Amino acid sequence: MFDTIKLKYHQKSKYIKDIKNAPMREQFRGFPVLDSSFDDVPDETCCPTGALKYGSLPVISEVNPDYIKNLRIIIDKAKNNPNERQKLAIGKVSNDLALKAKEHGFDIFGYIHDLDVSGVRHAYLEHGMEKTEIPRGQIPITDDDFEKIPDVLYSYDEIDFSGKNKTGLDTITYKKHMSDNTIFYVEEIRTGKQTLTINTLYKHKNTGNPRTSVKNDNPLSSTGSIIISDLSKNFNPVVSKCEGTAKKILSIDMGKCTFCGNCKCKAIQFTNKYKSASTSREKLIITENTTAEDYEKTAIQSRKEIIKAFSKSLKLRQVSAAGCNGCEMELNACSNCNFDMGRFGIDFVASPRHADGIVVTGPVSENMAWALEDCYKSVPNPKIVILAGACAISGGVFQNSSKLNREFLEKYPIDLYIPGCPIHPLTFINAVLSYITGK
Amino acid sequence: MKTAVINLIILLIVPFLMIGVIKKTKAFWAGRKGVSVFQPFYDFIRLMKKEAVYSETTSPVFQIAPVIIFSSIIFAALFVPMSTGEPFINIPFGFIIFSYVLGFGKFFSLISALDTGSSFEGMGASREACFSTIVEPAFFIAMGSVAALTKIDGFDNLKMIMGNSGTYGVLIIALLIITLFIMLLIEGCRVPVDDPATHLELTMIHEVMILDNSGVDLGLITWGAAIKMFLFEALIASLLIPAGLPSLISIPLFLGIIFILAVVVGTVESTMARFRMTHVFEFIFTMSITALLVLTLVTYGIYGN
Amino acid sequence: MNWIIIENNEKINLSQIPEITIERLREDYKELKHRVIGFFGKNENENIRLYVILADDNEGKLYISSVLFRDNEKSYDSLTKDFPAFHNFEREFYEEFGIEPLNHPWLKPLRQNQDKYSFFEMKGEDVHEVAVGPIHAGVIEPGHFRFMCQGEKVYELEIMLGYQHRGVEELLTKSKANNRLAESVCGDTVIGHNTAYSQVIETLCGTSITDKAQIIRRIALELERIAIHIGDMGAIAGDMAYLPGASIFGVTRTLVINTMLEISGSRFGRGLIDIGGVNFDIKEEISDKIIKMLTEVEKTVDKMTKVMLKKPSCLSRMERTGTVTKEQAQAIGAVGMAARSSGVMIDSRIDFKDKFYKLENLRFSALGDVYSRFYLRYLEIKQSVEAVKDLLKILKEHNNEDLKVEIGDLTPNSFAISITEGWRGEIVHCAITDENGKISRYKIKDPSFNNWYMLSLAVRNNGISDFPLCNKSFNLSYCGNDL
Ligand code: SF4
Ligand code: SF4
Repeated sequence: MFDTIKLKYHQKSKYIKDIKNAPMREQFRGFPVLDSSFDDVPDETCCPTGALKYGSLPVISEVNPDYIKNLRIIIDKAKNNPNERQKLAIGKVSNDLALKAKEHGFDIFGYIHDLDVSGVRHAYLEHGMEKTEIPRGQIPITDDDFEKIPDVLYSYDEIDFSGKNKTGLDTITYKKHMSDNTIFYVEEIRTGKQTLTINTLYKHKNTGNPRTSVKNDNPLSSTGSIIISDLSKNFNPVVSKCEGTAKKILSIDMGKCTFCGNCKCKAIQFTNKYKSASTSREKLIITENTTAEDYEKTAIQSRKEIIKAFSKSLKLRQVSAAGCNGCEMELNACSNCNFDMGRFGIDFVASPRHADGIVVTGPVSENMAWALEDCYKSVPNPKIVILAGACAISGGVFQNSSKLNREFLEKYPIDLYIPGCPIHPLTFINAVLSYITGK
Repeated sequence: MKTAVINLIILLIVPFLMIGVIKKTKAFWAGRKGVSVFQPFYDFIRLMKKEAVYSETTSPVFQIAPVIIFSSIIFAALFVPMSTGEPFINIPFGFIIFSYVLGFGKFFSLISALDTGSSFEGMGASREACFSTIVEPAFFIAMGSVAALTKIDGFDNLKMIMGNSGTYGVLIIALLIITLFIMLLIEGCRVPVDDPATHLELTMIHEVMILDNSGVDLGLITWGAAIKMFLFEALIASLLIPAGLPSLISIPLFLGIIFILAVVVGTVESTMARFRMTHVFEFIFTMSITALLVLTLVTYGIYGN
Repeated sequence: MNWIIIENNEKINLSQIPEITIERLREDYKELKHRVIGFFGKNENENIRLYVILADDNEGKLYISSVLFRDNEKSYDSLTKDFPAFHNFEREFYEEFGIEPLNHPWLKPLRQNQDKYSFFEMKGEDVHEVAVGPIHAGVIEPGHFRFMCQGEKVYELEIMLGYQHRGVEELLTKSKANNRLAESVCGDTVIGHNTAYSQVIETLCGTSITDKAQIIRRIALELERIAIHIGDMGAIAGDMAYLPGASIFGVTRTLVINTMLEISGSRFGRGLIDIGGVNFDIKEEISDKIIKMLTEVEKTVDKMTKVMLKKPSCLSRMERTGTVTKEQAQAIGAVGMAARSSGVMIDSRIDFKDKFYKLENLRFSALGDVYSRFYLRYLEIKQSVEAVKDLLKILKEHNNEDLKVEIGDLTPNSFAISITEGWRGEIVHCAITDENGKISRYKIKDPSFNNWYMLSLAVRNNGISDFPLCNKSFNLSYCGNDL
């Protein structure tokens, strides 16, 4: 008893008072700032994980790699044998889109964008002819426009959820400004097959300068180019190249980066800013235009239901799936006296049944895949999934291993990505806190 | 009537606050800021918004158990003297009903744990059952002695102890408090018997039994557990509040004692390591011995001279 | 010559490695009484060559030899039945190459497809089985534990790992320098594994790095030992639900790892060591900071340990819990801190005569229980604090040297081995290059690989509720074992 009192006085209170603005030692390698005007960018091979790219902009797309190839067949059939019922997958619905749709009351997590022969035919009939289109102020669509669909879908400028098609299905309209026209792509939501299928496609002439009115926070849309993805089987998230950009773009994908500092040079500096988490995978790619302040402001987009349910209390279940124990140690550190995460009502609990979400660390080995999925299923709804560490987000240093099975991460929606290798407790706490409070 | 309403409000709200105070105390000793004392409420509200998940191996018993457990605790609470020293229902030998209704609830928590078919939930159940069998006789001995001493068979006899304890007054009260306090630690699953904050499924007792409960069920169970612990604190408090105080004094006094006890529990938890499972029994036997001492003293006081 | 004898961090040509038979190996092992630290196969055309490495701890020498299994040889007589120390090695060899050790007492694969095999079972009316994992209640790595108990008492514990298997060894053969991957072999022994990895590659390249880099590596290694040991002491206290211990050790550990952050930019020292040297210098001011921090840490640890060891409730949990005797530890080939706590005094820093250290074996009564492991950690922290202070002093004399040197190419057809004493025990990294100078086989042995079986022995006849405490007192690595 007295010992404890003595210890208490010896120790004093060590917790970090203001977690949101907690100081960080300057040596910490956190959020990178890039500036390629210094001409000393090191070779990409110095990066152990392929996070560093100098040249084309990496895109985390979930596009069907065979899209362009098979599109021709579909178009052909649409024009010549209209009775065929072939379908072509365009790609997976991105998390961003799914979250946005959720705000409008649609649950399209895990859906797939696709088009079919009849849809393509329909689009041609409606909008493919000059004599109908010109009077409407539109331009007839061509085969090339179909090739641009992935670009429109994954880097649209505007989106509208309010439409309905003739048969009463809800539709989503994507709008993308091209150099001399604007493409409108309309999809209908097919809840039965869980697909978003082509409804129609049309083009407007550009009037005035629509770009100025568009708030564009997607690094992709500024390039105005087509995404042609790398080869990869069944729409794994793949890194694909944006061809056609004249300038070389310097970028770091924080979802892969281990913050090892191998690439440190004048052009690539690591600040000691630790708020690097984001709710969207795409955002984790840092380019020269990204400043830490902007990033911090926009990186974490919370949802209303989450704030309502968990803003004062959140219990998490951690699943360690073949990482290296580094991230686990840091997660444990979150609950120690220095960081004292518990004071915000965020805790790790023993049972998935008591939890509101899971925190995955590690690249998910084959041996852990079923256990991870079981655990996820045991968590009562509503629930969230947090990926902690480079391993979990992208495979990190283990991404080339043949012993991984990352299906789970593709199957279920991910709410929060926390970069780092290992993650810093402050990154984790701040990310979760701003996600559940919306601040 | 008015006091009954106040007591009801106390019964429903104070247990969570009490848990909050314990947590805050622990945080203080550890040098943390700790959660707000209202955190148990937030947790409870969150759980109420969640669905419950049932594993395929469980039977309906598992699904109805939480409600039974909770209602049995509330029912038992009706027999416990509250702030004014009066129980909601005052009948002769209320403490027997109290104990057995609690036992009924415990039975359901045991079979619902066994129902999950998980081996460590069964282990937790066997530990819990084991402890209860030792706690029960001690409780009856202690309460029986009180009845003998005060010559009142209702549960409101506790408040009479203060004024009517004869020769060994202070000693009897002290021993009774020790008995009830140990019982509180056991029934509340606190250190050194059990560790409510542990993450180790093999050492848990109460926690391990509810590993499979989720959502609303879990919310009810945690609320019930808090109330149960509160009941034992209420017993100690009514021991210390003499009869005949106006409710304006006795209610704040009662609350004061409850929160002081919470601080004490938190402090015990912060300064002690948890016992090894085999030592826990020795600890529980200590309580039986103090209860027996009470009985001896009371008998001696009555028949001795 | 049946064996070629080399030093730690020495490179030999593959042709220099003798070839013996399994029977010869059995005899020699019995005679030489050295410890087995490496036992792994490698494909050689159609045949499989088994490399065996023994360590002579008294002389600080390594004995290397090999056994060739021809295409048609699919089994041999197991060594484990005579020498339990081979237990996991033979299972691993069987799993990777399919050559069956006959009469092996418990032949199961080590990392994959284990669910097809049954668990050890005990019959009896009162015996019940408790299975935990792979996902545990705490924030720890996955592993499956199967207890055979009577009531609360454990008769037998079988540990099934492999959930963390992610093919590290295979990945390491793919590139010449991948220090970041080596750091992630086991995230709590970042410096240990990275040092061993760098040393192997440097040895294979024939590069010798500067003393300054060597010293900085060792300072980091000792800081890592201090940090993890303190963290573990806190975790042990936490398992006993002794709050002040858990919180004060936890806070103290933060001081150490934050100093590491100041040195290297990462709390665990990631990015500090690269092949060819180190990336960060320890300058005068940081050196002063380290000394100041260590003095404070030592004071706190002293105080806290004293208090804890006076508490009857703590002592009663730790004493005589999870005992492993010296004989048992020796027989199963335990290594490192856990072995030392049972009285097997092996420490590769001392045995292999690392010239930068001035260490001596600690003297204390090693009983092999949780208490011993707790107390040994305390002693090792103090020892390491002294060691760091010493190393910092020598570092000053090497001020003008380079941090990093250029490395050459890997020598073809060579074999190299490096042993580093991480906080858990000896970390063994071996690498073999092919005729093109590419790494064709990389082998890692984390101390946990030997020590997991110790945990099984430790919990026998203990209460099942003491298992977490025993487990924490060893704090073995899942990922280091599963690779
Ligand atoms: S800091 Fe990140 S981007 Fe730079 S080399 Fe390391 S992993 Fe690659
Ligand atoms: S992200 Fe890095 S630290 Fe975390 S588990 Fe993976 S390798 Fe380990």
